[in-house]
Amino acid sequence: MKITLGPIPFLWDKDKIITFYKEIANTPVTTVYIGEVVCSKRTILGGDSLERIGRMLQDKGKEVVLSTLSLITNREELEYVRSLVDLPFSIEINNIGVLNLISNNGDINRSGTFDPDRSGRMPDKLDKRLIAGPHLAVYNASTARFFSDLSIKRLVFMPELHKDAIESISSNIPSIEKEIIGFGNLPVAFSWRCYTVRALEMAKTNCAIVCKKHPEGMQLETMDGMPVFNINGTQLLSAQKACMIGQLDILEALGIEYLRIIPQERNTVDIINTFRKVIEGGITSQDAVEVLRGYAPEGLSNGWFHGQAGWEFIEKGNLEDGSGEYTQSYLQVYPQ
Amino acid sequence: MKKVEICAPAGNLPSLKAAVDNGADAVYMGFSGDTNLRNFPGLNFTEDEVHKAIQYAHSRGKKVYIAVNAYPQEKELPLALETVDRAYGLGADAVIASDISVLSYIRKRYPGKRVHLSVQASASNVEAIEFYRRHFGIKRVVLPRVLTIDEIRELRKETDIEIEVFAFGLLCINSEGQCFLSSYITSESINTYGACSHPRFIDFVQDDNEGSLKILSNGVLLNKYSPSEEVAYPTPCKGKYYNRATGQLTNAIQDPESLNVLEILPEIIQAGVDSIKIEGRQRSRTYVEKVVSTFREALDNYYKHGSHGIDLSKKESIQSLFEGLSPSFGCYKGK
Repeated sequence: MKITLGPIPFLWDKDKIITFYKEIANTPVTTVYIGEVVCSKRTILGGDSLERIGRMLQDKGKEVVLSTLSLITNREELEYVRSLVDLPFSIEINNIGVLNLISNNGDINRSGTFDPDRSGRMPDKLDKRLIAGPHLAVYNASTARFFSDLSIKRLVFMPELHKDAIESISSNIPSIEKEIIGFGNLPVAFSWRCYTVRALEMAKTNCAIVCKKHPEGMQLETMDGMPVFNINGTQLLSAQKACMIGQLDILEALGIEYLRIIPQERNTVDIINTFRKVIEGGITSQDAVEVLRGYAPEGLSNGWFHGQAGWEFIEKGNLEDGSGEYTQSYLQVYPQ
Repeated sequence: MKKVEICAPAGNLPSLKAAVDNGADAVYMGFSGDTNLRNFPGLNFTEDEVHKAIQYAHSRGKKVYIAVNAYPQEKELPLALETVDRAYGLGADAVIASDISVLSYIRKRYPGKRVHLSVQASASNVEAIEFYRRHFGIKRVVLPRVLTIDEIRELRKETDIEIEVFAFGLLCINSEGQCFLSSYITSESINTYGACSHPRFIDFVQDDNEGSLKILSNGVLLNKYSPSEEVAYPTPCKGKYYNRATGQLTNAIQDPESLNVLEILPEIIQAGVDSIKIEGRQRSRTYVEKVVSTFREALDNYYKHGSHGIDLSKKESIQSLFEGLSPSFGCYKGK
């Protein structure tokens, strides 16, 4: 099992980002996803900075992937992505339009008549490794096969997929590389609305990227105090941090080779190392869960994988033989 | 001049008849079960009802579109594909789909048939639309409610695919197909299960100590109301939440509001859309009747008398169909 680092969901200062990736360069992650996924106003890193960061990571032996915007509603945003896809990195596609843009060798399409004979295959000279990100709707094996036939090399499973859906995709398309989010705040919505400026009663047009002041987002709690969502600009994240450390054996059995850690403002390196230790057999997953709880005061979650509500956390049973039985903890973890 | 189409919802045969009789050009509907995005108890059509619906609409020169727009997981895929067979077999004018396996099936099996790209596919830019045209021959895209009128106007210049936009009804604030709020709280995904905040998860609990009504979804508190307040249907986006950073308790995601574009209909038409969609397959025959007739009159007056022909006093009367929700333009007029 290899550990990857997802794109930073939040907006941080440029210096902070650079320092962060210098630290990441010395961790055991094999792949680092860089770039902005959430909001086109967050162009704090231009192509030059992204290239410098990416090359620094490549020099340390990391595979570098450029993650691209998830929600794109106009030409300016397409042009922004277009300006980055020639960087010497693999590309994570989070909006299907980017796949079309790339398969036209970067020429943004003009209207034309539908040509039923066009196979839609990638042009031969395309040397990019393409990854289908967690924001593309891939719910079944034939959709995954469609992407695989279009030269997509890796699929990052959508967070809400149940393990049966993952199994069906994995068993039918063994050739595609598979990645799952292993730790962090999960993406739960994208909007035209900026929830950060809404919270601060500002106008989005003059936002001055104020989300930078909230490097871990803004936590939302229910009226009785249960953390539930997290505001991150035009994105909503889960408040709970997904944690799949107790499921490594199942993930391996499902053919998943890549486990993604989502960057946090604090403790990201410690989280990576905790996962590493479990993978190498240095500590048990139960011990790791206790460590990771310390990095997630809002709670841990893995419910979707088990077919439960996303926020729930299903712990591995304390069976002596460590067999794959899981107990469902429906305990109200947020006492009033 | 080609006039803008009114695409009306129907959750049952009486609603379909109301839509057709009150001036809809097309009606969209779904089969019973979880193959489409309004999977509510007692709603939607059996095969026999679809047959009758299509006969009724076609005999009056109106179109019927069938939504097969849930994302099927493996075990649900055969039913989704069978539903496509039944829809075209019964004479539907188009199938509305989002999942790539369903679209692939239609492309292969029914290359001459019309397919519309569902709003759930989140196709919000010209490259995404071109992708679906190129691979699946879509004739129309239903745009997610994340574009301004200016963006729609620009998009119009870049594609000749038909554009359908929402004009009235419940308002999704998040990009459709990419919203997992209800799934996160309840375990049932809008994309696969076809219902946001399904009634089976909702509990109304009277709190006698506080004198309030608590609304819970799968045990998670979405809102509290005082007895005098009107209660909007509880979806997670309309819940009240404490923001830990600001300390405020607000409708952090969305106010209790619904989409109502009657006032800006001329701008929407002038942006070059082909069809305006009315949300509300889960609503009553009376709702369909009132909303469709209002938009029919507005469109007819627009084409006869221009922008000033629209009777804006109707805005309030159709808004009153949404208890507790105030009218909104969504992001049509700016983000």
